[in-house]
Amino acid sequence: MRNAKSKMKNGKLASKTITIVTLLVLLALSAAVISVDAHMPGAKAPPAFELSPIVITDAGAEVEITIEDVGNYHNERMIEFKRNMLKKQNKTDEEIGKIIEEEFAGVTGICPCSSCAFRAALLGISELWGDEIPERADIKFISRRPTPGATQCLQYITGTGPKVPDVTSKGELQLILPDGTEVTDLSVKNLKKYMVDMDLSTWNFVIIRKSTGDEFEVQVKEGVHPEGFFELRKKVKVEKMATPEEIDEFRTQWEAVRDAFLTQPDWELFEGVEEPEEEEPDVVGGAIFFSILVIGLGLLLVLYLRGKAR
Amino acid sequence: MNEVEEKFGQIYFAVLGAMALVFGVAELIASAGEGFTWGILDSSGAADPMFLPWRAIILISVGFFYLGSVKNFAEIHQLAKAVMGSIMIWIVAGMAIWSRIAGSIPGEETWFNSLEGFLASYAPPYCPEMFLLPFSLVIVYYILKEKEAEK
Repeated sequence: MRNAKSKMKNGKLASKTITIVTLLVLLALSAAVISVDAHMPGAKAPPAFELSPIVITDAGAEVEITIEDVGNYHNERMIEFKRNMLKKQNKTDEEIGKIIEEEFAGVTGICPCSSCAFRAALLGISELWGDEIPERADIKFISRRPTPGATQCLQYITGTGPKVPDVTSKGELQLILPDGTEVTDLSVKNLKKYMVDMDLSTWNFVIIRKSTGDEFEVQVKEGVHPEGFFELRKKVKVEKMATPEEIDEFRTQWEAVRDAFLTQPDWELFEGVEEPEEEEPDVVGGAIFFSILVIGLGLLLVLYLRGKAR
Repeated sequence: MNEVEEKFGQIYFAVLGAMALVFGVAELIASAGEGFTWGILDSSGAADPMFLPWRAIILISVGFFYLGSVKNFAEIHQLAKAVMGSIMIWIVAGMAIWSRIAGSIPGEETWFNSLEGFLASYAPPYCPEMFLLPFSLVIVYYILKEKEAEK
């Protein structure tokens, strides 16, 4: 009897332990998946880079937009989204604060999408406006990329996003997917629905100068993303079936793509941008001038010596 | 100085003075903006942006000195004005040439420049004073003539 009772007790204890362990593992896995989905925790800081700011005017006032401004804005919007999501899960403010602090520790908001959109905007503006400074209201972007990073970057530049500072006149932003679907609700929650199958065709932006109707299309080149990037992204972020090794591998690839957009020149990143030819030094012209200089100095010396001899 | 030489000097320095004045005004306008490079003529002030307005003022002064010397050119005081103008060109052009010589010797990442780099550093474009330099040397002829006349 005693043996049977203790066996029953042991069995219950074992099943409880298994249940708790399973729950803990599930909790840990879900936390990992959520954090990877939102940003890229554990990603290394980007290398040193130099990107010129986007300079526009808003109702006559000059506004300088740096990649750091865009990153901070993207970060704030993602924190807000996360906070609302956690509130809906009935988390306390203390818990929310702790989760956000952990998940966004050291996150700059400069991700592959925001940096790509920033570079595309920078290139498009310089192609369409040249040395002129564009008025914010004259800028229109058509984005094919339904990610918060790219969308919020372009919302910040056009002043169409929520809580963008110093906005008097707004530009325009349209999100039209490669299949022609127009997404009008640009909230993070809605964008997530479209972030399923995103291949190279979504890394595309059209910059439009509204006053003239001129357009410039920016398409990311094949090869900027490491091989298997899109498949791995789907596995990690959409299907959420990736192993820790695959998550690590994706993190490395994510960093490589972000770093490329921060450090590489336009012609390495985008289709149709030609590398500026390096000017050959004018050796002949220089040699002619140098010869004239030497002859002239020689003549001066001869004249001086002759004068002295007399 | 005979009459032909005086007439030639008058026309020559009138043209040179007008050119200096045009260059000076162009440089003054250029110094208000980002400067300009036109063919082998450089008024961009890329190498010395602070010096560009000064160069313009010097060139305008040269223009006035030359043009002011034209009337009664053979007279010693008038000739002195042309000499002053030439000396001003020599100083500015001399500085430009000297900066080229000094810049041509060291390499970008090495102690000494390559032969190609050395010669390329003397390549155009050139500042207006360097163009005016050989033409301004004509004044030496008139100085020597004056010296001969004194003897």
